Amino acid sequence: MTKNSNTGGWHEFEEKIRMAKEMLKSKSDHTREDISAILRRRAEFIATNGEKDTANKEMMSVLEFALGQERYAIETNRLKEIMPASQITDLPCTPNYVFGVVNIRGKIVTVIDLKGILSLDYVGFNDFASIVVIEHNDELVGIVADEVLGINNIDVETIQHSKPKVIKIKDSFLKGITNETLIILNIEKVLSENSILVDETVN
Amino acid sequence: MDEAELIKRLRETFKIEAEEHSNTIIKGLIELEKNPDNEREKKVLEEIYRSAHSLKGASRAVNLPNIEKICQALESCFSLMKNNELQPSPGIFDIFHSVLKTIDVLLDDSEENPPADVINRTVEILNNVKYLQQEENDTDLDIEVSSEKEENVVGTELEKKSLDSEILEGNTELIEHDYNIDEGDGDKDFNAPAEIIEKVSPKPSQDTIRLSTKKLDDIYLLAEESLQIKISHDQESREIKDIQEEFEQLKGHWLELYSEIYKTRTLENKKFDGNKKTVLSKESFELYDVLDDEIKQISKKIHYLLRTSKYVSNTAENIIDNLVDEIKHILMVPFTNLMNGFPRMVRNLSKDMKKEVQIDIKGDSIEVDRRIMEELKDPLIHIIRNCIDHGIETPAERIELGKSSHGNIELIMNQIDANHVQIEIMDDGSGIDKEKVKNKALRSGILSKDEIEKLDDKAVYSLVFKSGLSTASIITDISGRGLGLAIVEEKIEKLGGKVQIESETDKGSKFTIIIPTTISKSQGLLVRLNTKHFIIPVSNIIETLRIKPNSIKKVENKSTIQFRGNTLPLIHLSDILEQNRETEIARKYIFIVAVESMNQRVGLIVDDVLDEQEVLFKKLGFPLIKVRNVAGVSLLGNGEICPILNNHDIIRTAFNLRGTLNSTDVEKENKKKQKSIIIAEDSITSRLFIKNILESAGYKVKATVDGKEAFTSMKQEKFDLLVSDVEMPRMNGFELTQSVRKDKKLKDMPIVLVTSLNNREDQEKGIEVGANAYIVKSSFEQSNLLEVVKKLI
Repeated sequence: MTKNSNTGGWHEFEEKIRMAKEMLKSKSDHTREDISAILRRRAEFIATNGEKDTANKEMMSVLEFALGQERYAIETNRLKEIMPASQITDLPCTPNYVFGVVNIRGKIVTVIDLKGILSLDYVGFNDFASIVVIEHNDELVGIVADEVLGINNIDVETIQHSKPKVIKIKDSFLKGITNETLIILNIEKVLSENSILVDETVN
Repeated sequence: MDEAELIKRLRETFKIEAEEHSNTIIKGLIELEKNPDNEREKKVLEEIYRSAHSLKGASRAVNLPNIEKICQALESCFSLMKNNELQPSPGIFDIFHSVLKTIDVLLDDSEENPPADVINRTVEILNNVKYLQQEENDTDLDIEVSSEKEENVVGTELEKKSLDSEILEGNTELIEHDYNIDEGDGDKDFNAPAEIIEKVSPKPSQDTIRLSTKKLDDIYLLAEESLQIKISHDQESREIKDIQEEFEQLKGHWLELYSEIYKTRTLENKKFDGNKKTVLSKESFELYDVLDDEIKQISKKIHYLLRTSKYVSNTAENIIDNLVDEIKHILMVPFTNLMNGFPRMVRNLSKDMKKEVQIDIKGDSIEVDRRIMEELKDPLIHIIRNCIDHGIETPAERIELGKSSHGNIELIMNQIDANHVQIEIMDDGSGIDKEKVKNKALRSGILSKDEIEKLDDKAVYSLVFKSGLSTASIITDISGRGLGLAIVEEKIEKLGGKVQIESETDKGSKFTIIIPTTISKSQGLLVRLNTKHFIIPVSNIIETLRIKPNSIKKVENKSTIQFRGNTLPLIHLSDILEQNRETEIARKYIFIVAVESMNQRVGLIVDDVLDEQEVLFKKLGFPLIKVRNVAGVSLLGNGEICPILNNHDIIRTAFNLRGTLNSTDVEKENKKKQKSIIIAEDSITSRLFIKNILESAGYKVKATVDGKEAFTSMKQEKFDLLVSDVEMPRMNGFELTQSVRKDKKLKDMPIVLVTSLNNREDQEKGIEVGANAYIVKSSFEQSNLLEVVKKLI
């Protein structure tokens, strides 16, 4: 029974495809040249469309993420990968801003908490937390983002360099703030801060 | 700071500068060869002349006499060209280019010293270039001719700088020809630049390639990762084995039951002749048979699985171990790489100390793992410095003792077995003063008087490795901080090696270091604290104990047990690692891991001892340079990352903690109180620099501009330490020190003299007036100052 209805179904399907092919054939009087011309037009359209926004504008590609209630961003040029914040191994005797370590293809990478370094209020981890892995001085380091919001292009001109008073972060750690109060961090500077190095001996 | 380090850094900067100059010259030469118009020619000549001149100056600054000499000669040639006294022919241009190549090669490895005569000859050629120009034209030299010999001269070389190695080698031949023309004899050994190249770079041959160490490290990392497979597989096999054992037990029970059932059935069959309804139905009998069959089948399957697993495990182990071993061998480098700079270092250091010292190095072709070599560098340099600073006497003292005026240091490497190398460092100096060591140990409270008297010679010498113990009466930047040898021992032990001292008064001392040649897979003990796991390296474990709670005795309010006839102090590992302790439950047994390091023992209480296993040591990355109590991490069979503990730190922490257990809260408070330091320094740059260093290390700092101001401030405020310059207006550092020592209230204040003067008289004067440390500014780096300060307060 089932078998029959099944074959019937196939017949119907094949028939439809055949009809569709025929219809296409009758309608399509485009030559190969025509087709490539159409494609070129489309490509041009897409290209110029993008140009409309970016022409003469310097864009900055940033990764947007949340720390607590605020939105932050870092430039994507040092971004290596983003991974879920699971399986972070806690290390004893490390400062608070060191979350722990993760294994990335055989390399042990330290995961740090920007909230600690930037002296932001600590709200704790949530389920959306991710590790943003960046390259710094040929080494990898992970920073915890409460939520990764995505990669965006920002018009450099819209970045303001003076910061509102409410932001407590050190000036040198900032690249600027956009109109949408997205705080762009100078992550290189933050990580170059000597005070974040851990070099402790027991005497 | 470490002088070698400074030179290294300067040279890195120099290299970039030198490459720029060299490129300018090359570009200029190429342009000149194309016969530009007069004006342009003048300009280019001026440019290359200036570049040669600057390069000469720069090489002198970083003490590279070879490059300096060549540049000098090059400069004169360009000068001749400027004055129209030299019209370079193509051949001469080729010489210039090849000379620049030589400079490049020298730049590439500036530590390597090619024989002076090679350099001299190169210079000579340049100096004779002007005589070449006439003959040059007649002989019609052709690169084609010489290129036949190319392969014989240098062979194929993967020199990263060689933009065009063929021309380079052609040129070396060319120089030979030129020289022959000049001198008229067939001096065969005169292919100078080729000689340099051969001396400087490893002997090139067809089957040698140069690889960046990073690539090798990456491969090693991957190979090491595959060890993970092996470890996981081992664990899997063990788990299967466990399952098998459990299942076999189950099968045993089943067989007992089954035979019971069988008996019952036979009995019933007999009794009731099958007529009456039996207790066990026929269906259930059938079911039992099926069950029995299945159980036997599964048992067989598990057995088979275990066998396969073991086989895979063994195969993987073989392949992976071989692979890792092979790669380890690739990563080996000879001691030569490390020790090339030693003679120079010894010469400089001994000059500074006004001593005459020679170093003799033997067995430096022996190879060890590059990473071990890197770790060995500091300890070896430290020991050699110690020999020069403390061991070898001044020439006058030596002659008085009937020794040769120059001291000797011997550095001998010996391969003692397949996996170990012995390094002996001997000097023929004064030896170690046992009484001084004993006194010092007594004074710094490391040992009590009774304990010291019981020590034999060997034990006395091993005291030298104790932190905080130095027999030097004043701290200099070379040694005497009393930390050095402790660090030496720690580093060597960390490499899995051992270090020993022997000494004889006036005959000298001998350090013997035994280290493994490769980084070996080490064993670690996996322990549990609460929910977390940690690995304790087995190399320092004496024993793992399981004791009843009532065998713990309180001595002076601290937990101890009796262990091998001694009292073993106990401490919970959670306290050392700043972890929360597991909620106390009444335990039947307590697990203790007895560890030993630097002759101190402590019993670590852990929540559980799980397993001893192979440890895959992995370094921590940025920003973790060194974490207290943690040496690194390892991956467990299940992929979990597990911290590997640093036994040295653990023991130190344990004693620190136990020390403070009894101390009152006030004392604890005092310990944490910020120390304050006063600086007297007239140079504003140095003042700010020192202030900055000390403040960033957490000290409260007051800066004053001279001795007078400092002294006044010290009378008004309380400081814990004085850092003073020597040369200052109004009251200099020596005067200030004297005044402080004379003052009733201030006389015990630790004083560090920081100065640009580096001579023995001044150091001695420093001791005389009562300074505690004397650091030379030119070679002083922040860690050095901080180390000294930390030691004093």
